[in-house]
Order: sequence, then structure tokens, then C-alpha cells
Amino acid sequence: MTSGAPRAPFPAPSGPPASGRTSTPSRTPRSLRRAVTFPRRDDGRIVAGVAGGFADEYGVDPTLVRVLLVVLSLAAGTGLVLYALGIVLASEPTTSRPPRPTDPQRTLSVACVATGIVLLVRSTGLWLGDAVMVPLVAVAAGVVVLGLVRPDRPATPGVAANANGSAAVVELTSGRRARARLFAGAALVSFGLLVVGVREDASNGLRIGAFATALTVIGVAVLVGPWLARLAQEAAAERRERIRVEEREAMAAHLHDSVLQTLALIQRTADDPRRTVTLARQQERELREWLYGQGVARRTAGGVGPVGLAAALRGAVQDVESTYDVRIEAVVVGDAPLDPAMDALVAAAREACVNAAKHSGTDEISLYAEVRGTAAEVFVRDRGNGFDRAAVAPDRRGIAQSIEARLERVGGSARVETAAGEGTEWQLSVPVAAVPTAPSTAPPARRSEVP
Amino acid sequence: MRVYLVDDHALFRAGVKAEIGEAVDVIGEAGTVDDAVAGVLAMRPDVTVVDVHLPDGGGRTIIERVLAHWPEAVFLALSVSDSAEDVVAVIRAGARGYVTKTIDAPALVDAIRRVHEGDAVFSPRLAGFVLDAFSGHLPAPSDPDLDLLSSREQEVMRLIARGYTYREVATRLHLSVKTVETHVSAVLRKLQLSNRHELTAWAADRRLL
Repeated sequence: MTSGAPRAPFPAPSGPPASGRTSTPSRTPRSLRRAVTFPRRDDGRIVAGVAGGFADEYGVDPTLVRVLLVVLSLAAGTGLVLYALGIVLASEPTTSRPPRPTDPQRTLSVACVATGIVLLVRSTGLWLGDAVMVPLVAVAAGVVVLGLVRPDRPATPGVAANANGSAAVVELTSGRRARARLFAGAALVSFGLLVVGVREDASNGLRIGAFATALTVIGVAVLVGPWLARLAQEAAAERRERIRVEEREAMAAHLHDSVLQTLALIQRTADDPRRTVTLARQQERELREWLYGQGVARRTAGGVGPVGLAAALRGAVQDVESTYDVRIEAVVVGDAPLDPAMDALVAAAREACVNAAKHSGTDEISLYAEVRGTAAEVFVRDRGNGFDRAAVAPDRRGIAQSIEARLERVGGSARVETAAGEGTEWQLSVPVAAVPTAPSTAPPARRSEVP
Repeated sequence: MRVYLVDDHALFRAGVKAEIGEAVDVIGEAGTVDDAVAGVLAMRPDVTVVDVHLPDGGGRTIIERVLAHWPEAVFLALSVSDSAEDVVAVIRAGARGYVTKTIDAPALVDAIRRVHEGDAVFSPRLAGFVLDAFSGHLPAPSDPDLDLLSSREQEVMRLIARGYTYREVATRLHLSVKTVETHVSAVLRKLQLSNRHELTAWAADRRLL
């Protein structure tokens, strides 16, 4: 997102969706276009809609125009040339209704025009001789017929076609008309190839042989290509759909196991506010971890895998929260790979949280951790009743052992600020290893990168 | 104070309204982006409390669209989100503060009052995000005044992240509360305007830009 981009406070009024055809700019130069400005017809056209469009524009009977064109075509193909000019010069069709490929009248007329073109070419000098051209035309006709073998796509292809991957293939091969077309096309191609093969003679046998091979390859490609393409498409769509379904199922299963269960429990224990709050907190924490965390909550135990200080602290905080029924607002800035010093820091922080949970008299604790340069610091704070350090018996193991001695062993320090009635804050610090001993396995701290 | 509430959960709106209704005047509420933009522009509340997450665009969209027509509007973001992306995005869009939904009613009223008076409201979490974003010490930034937190500002941010209130921060640093508020506002402005390389990279990392 570019914050500097001009803001559009309200979305521009989206007009009616422009039909794809009318909005497509034509490549014909404007000056030429102005001379012949009639839009081709799309609705009720025979071939390309030129005659119809012309008739519409100048108010004449389209049939008259068509007959005239056919007659002119007999005069050395003038009509065909005019028609081709019309296609080039006339503007795009005004309506966007797609042509119906199954319209028999249209198919017939296209065939007539194609035949006309073939005959026209034959009457000119461009004909290569019947020996080559007859089979070639036959093959071409076969390919065209094959091209018409298209399954009638359902109205909403994205839904219906994907529902069953093989539906389109079945559609392609079944249905009487489709099958007839398939056979007709195949027959024409085979005929063409056969003729080429038979006409082989000594002088240019090699050339024709190569030609026949190429034709065979093309024919097979035409026959099988769309099939393979569609199969691959269907497979991909099916896979996407399956992944989506799996994700949805996983989420449903998770929500069922966690949120729904908890909600049911809360309903049953509504008369016990403390329990309700505990349940809600646990669930909230769990859901948060699932939504914003890195998947499964990674705990400190074992220290296996690339668990950093931040993740380890979060794990400790969660343990204390659920064990002692308190809320710990944990903020962690930066991260560092776990080493013995960091482990000690996490353990000491955990102990400080436990102390606060047990003795402070409040259930709101703040934990702030920051990895800054050469030191990692953790602050654990509560606004509870505080304590008098001198009054705590020196043999109480919690503070002396679990926090202070533990950090001193790894070169760190622990300080506590507290006074009766004023809350407590622990300030824990350990040095960060300057150079990791095994940099390849240690995950780099995110903020130590200098561009 | 006239307050406008935006949250897609009607239950949550009702709860907030009941909790703060005595201290402030809740003049309107909305559950969608379009309703919120229209309502805020029509009613011109003193403070708009806006949820970060809304189905059709989120608090960021609301803030941007309202500010385009009414640059003086004041927003306080309220969210359950833990993700830095969301929070920093609404702050950069123009919210003057961010608090989590677990905040209690007096603290929320206090936060609304603060943003109304022109101060910034930082929760510990937001302070952590800010420290994360401005962390690192690059040599020769292009605009040092804008692109680096001063050491005082960093101290203030750290204490807020540690759970200190403004008053506690002031006591601790031997400052007046007003000075602390000035520092926090400066940090907010830097966050909104800063284009420092590292902050930009940090934001780009999280697809904020």
C-alpha cells in the first residue's frame, strides 16, 4: 500500500460493467474508420455481421445485401473481398451476445463462404494442384469440425464444472452430436492423410512423407490437445478445492475443540464468576496463539528447535497465567537465540511472575522484555501490596535461589524495587552472547540486521 | 465529550456504551465502514472510538476516509488484535492512540479524554511495537529529528511498555506529566510521519506499506 498515493475518499461510482467487446479498441486507423462507420452486427448475424451491420446502418434489407455479396463473389471473388474489407473497416459489434456455435444456419453459411474462398483461390494462380490441395482442404475441414466439438459449458463453469473433475471430459465424448462431430473430424483428417500417403511418387515422396507425418502430429494434437488441457485444468481446480475444504475442516475442528467447548463450559458455570473468567482467559490465550502465533505453542521444555527468547517467554507467561489465574500483559521487543543465559533469564522471569501472582494480591502483571545491544532485560511489574525485602527470611528460596543466584551464575543481575503498598518491579538482565558460537544453527535476532 | 463508537459487534458496542455512558456522551455508533464514515462526518464527534478490525476495510479505512474530509477528527483505536501490522497501520493512518479491549472502563474514559485533549495514548503493547519499529542505530539517518527516537523518548516508551502510567513515568523520570505527554505525542508524530529506512523496511516486512 502506498501511503503517499492520492486517497479516494469514496469509491468511484462503478458504472454498468462495460461489455468486453464494445470497450475493446479497434486497431483500424480512425480516418479509415470514419469513411465506413457502421458497427458490425453480433445478434442475428450469419458470418461476421458485416452485411447485417451494413443493412442496419443504411436501412436496407440485409437479405438483399447478402444476395448482392454472393453474386459479386461469383464475379472473380469481388464480394468476398468486399466482405473481408467490411470485417476490417467496420467497427466492433454493438451487442456483446456471444455467437451461438451450434447454430446450424451459421455453420452452413460459414461452410459456404469457406468453399467459396477455396474455389476462388483455385481459380487464381495460387493453387498448388489438386494432388496437394484436395487432401489439405479435407484436413483443414476436419480440423475445423473438430474445433466445433466443444462441450456446452454450464452457465456457471467455475462451480459446476469443478464439482466433478471428469464431467467436462465425459461431456466432451458423450452426446450424440459431439460424437458425430468427433468422428467426422477424425474421418476427414484420416482421409486427408490417406490421400497424401497414396499420392506419393518417386520425385517428391520424401517431402510428402514428411508433410504427412507433420499432418499426423498436428491431427493428433488437435484431437488430444484440448482433452489434456482440460484434464490438467480440472485436476488443478480439484486440488484447489480440496485444499480449501481441508482448511475449512481444520478450522471447524479447531473451533469445535476449543471455542465451542469453552463456551459450553462457561454456560454451565455461569454462577461461578471466577471459573468463568479463568475459562474465558484460557480460551482467549489459546485462540490468540492460534491466530497470531506460529501455529502450535512451542514450550520452553527441552529447548529443542529454533525457539527464541520471545517464544520461550511467552510460553512461560502462559504457564503462569493458567496456573495462577492471573493476567500478564507481556510485551517483547527483539529476540535472541536461546542459550544458557537466556534460559536462566526465562526461568527467573517465570519465578518473578509466580511471586507476583502468589503474593502481590493483584491479578494484573506486566512483563516487558527487550533485547538491546549487549543485554537482554526483563521487567516484571505488579501494582500489588509490595513487600519489605529485609523482612523476607533469607532462607526463602524463591528470591535468593530462583532469581538472583540463577542470573548471577550466567553473568547477569537481578534488582527489585519494592516497598510495602507500592507494588513490585523486578529488573532482570543477562548479557547477550556477542558472537554466537554456532552461527549457522542460531537463528539471527531480527533487529540485529543492518542494511 | 461527544463520542462515536465503531465496532462490528453490536454486543460489544452495547457493553462499552453501558460502561462509559455515564462519563461521556455516546452520540452514535456504527458497525460498518460506510455507516461509520457517514455518521462521523454528519455528527462531528469529539472522539471516534474505532475497532481495528471491521469486515469491510477496518479502522484504517474509516480513519483515512474521514480525515480526507475532516482533518480535525480524533480517533482512538480499540482492538483485541495482537498483530503489529494492524495496530501500526491504524496509528499511521491517523489514530491518536491504541488501547486493547481488555481495558477497564475508567481507563477507557481516561484514554478518550486524553486523545480529546490532544495527547497520544499508548498501551504497553503499542509502546513495544514502536520500540521494535524504531530499534537499531543506523548511522546518519536522513532526517535525525524525525527518524530517530530521542533517548528520552525511548526511556518513556520503555517505561510505558513496562506497564507504567504517564504519572508513574513522570515520577520516575522526574518530569511533569505534561512533559511525558509531549514526549509521547512526539513519538506518535514520528511514527506517523517517519520515513526512515529501517522503519520503512520494518513496515514493508509486515506489509504495512
